[in-house]
Amino acid sequence: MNRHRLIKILGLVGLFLLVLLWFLFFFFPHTVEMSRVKRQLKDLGDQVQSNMNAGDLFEYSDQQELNRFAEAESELRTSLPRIDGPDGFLRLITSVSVFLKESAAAEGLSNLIVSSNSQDLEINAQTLPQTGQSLEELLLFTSTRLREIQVEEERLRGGAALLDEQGPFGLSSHALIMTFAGDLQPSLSFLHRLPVLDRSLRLEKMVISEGKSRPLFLVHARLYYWDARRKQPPASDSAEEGDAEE
Amino acid sequence: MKAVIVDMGNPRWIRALGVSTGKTPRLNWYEAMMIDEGEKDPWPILQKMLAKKSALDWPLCWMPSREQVGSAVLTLPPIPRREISKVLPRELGQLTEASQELAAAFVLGDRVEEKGAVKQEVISAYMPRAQLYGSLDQMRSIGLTPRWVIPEMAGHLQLLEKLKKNIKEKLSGTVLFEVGAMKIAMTIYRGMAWGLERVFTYRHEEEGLPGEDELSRISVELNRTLQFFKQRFRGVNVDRLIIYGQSEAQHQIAEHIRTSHALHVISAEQAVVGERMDMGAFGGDAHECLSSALIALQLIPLLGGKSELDLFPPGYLERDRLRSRILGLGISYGLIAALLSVASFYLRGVRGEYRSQIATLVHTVSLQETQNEHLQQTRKRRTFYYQWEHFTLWPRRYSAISADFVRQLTLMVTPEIVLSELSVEPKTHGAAFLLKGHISVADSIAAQSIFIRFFDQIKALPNILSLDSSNVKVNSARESTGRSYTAEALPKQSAVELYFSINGEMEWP
Repeated sequence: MNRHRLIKILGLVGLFLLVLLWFLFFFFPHTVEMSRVKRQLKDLGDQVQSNMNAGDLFEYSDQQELNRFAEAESELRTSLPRIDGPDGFLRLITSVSVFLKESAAAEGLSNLIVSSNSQDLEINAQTLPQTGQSLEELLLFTSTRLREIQVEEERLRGGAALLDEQGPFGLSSHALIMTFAGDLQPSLSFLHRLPVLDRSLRLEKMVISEGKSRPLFLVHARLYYWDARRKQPPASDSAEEGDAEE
Repeated sequence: MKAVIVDMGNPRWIRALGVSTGKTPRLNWYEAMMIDEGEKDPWPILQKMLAKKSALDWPLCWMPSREQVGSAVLTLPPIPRREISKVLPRELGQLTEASQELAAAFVLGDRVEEKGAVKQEVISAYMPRAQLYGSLDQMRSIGLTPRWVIPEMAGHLQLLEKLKKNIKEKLSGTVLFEVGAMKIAMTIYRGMAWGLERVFTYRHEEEGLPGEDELSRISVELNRTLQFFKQRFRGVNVDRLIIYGQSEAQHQIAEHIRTSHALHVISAEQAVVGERMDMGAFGGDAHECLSSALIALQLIPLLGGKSELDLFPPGYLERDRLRSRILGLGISYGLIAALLSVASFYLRGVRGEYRSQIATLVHTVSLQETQNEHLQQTRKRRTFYYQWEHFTLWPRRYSAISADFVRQLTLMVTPEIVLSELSVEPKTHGAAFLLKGHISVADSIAAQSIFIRFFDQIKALPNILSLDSSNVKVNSARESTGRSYTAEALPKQSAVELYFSINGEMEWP
């Protein structure tokens, strides 16, 4: 082959290779990189817009609101009882029983039975003096209803009866069943006053049944407290858990 | 075609002839210039001469000096021209014992018989290749365009060819006798084959004419040369001498040779008699010009095509083209590389611009996220606050709404209605209740009427959201029989009990 033609062909092939290499090692990677960069830019733009929208919808808190937040957080920490062991829990239950007994006595209720089926403690106590026939009726009512509750709980929870549950804000809770017989007026008054007098006690269900002489009451209550044995999340996280419960 | 013939046969002189080729060759102009002693490079002088005639771009035929070009006659076996071309440089190298590579051109001479074998005479001209290329490069570097490098021998052969035509017989031995200003160059040909060359100086008087003694010495030199030729080429009779040159002494020398030697002396005009050449532009100087440039003028017919004795290297222009091609490729590479670099630079710039925008946005997002973190924290505190509010208020609301509902029920209950059980369970925004009881009256119509009134009263309570009494059953009072009837099927005027179950929802006041 003519040397000049060979040089020409080699030169042109070299030029083509030069352009090809440029395309392979610069242009195509650059195009891919540009595509990634543009996508990133778009994502960031969307994020900025989203943040701006979020900011537009938000109202900043004033000092009054912040004070309320602080008060609420302080209340959460201080207004509920705190236990640091089994003895503490026993003391808490005892104190609640005493409180219930005193409250029932104050309203003039003749009988109050507080039942708790817990791994920590079993309470099945009469809190007021017994009065003959009405007590028998109440005991029958209580045992029947507790059995029903136990059967229902076992059906729902697969055998675990009335176990403690974790409440909102990282609180621990303990279920209580109260049964009592009494006239309607003092009984309702008793139930009405309970959450006012003790914040840790929350009524979850109330059943009023017909008795022979006076109505029979079955009340599901739950006692909330701080359990130092469990790690307690901060207040804001507690709020999230509150969201979850909600 | 217009061309320039540069006759440098005499190393001390540059003679440039501007000619036009064609059927009738024309001598357009003629310039001669002597090279100074100290001047080594003749090309700038030639450039000035051509520039003066506005002929710088004319193709140039260079006739190198006889000192630069060697002549030789080789006797080779009868081989093709191509093979001769291959072996000629080597043969010439051996002949001349030259260490340099030679550029050679040749014409085929007669076939001779040597020791019973037929051989081919090859008449060649040669010059060192490096010198040839160097001269061509120098000419091109100053803007001249050399196209032919034709040795003086080619002109000699052209002249002898014309002479042969004129005398219409085979040439024997011919002396070409060039009389220069200081030198005389003799070239003796045997037929059309180069035989011998001799150059010697002569002196002349102030008028430019040699004296008697000098004429005698010239005659002796000529005689001696002829004797040498006869010894070398036995059987070749030298019978003609063509005299030409620029010196005025040539006529005197010619007359002297005519009288002293048995040679037929032919002048320049006689040698080219019958030749068609237009020298009209020179008028009365035509004779002098013809004599001075006789050999150069013989080259004009060779300019149309490729002369066999042209020493112009065939690869020279290709080498030049190769240079141009490499230069072109280099420029192309440079341009492409520059374009790619500009494109790369531009694309990098665009990418950099995007990246700077990204950096700005990332900074903005970072600031926004810091702000958002504060917003989220505040939101969490608000949510916690409302949760806590709900947590603390919910039991009281539940107790209140339940107690209130029971109190209102007691107000609605008539003596016929017996409530057996009320269950109230809190919901998110209120409470759900289930009320069970029965109504004992004389007939089912009254029972239904009482129930409907009781149901409507509950429904009318302000906190009631929904109410449902799908589970209503009327039984006969004669339960001992174990039979039960629907309300429609019960016989009238019978004591009946209407059992009901009402469920509904209340909302917080």
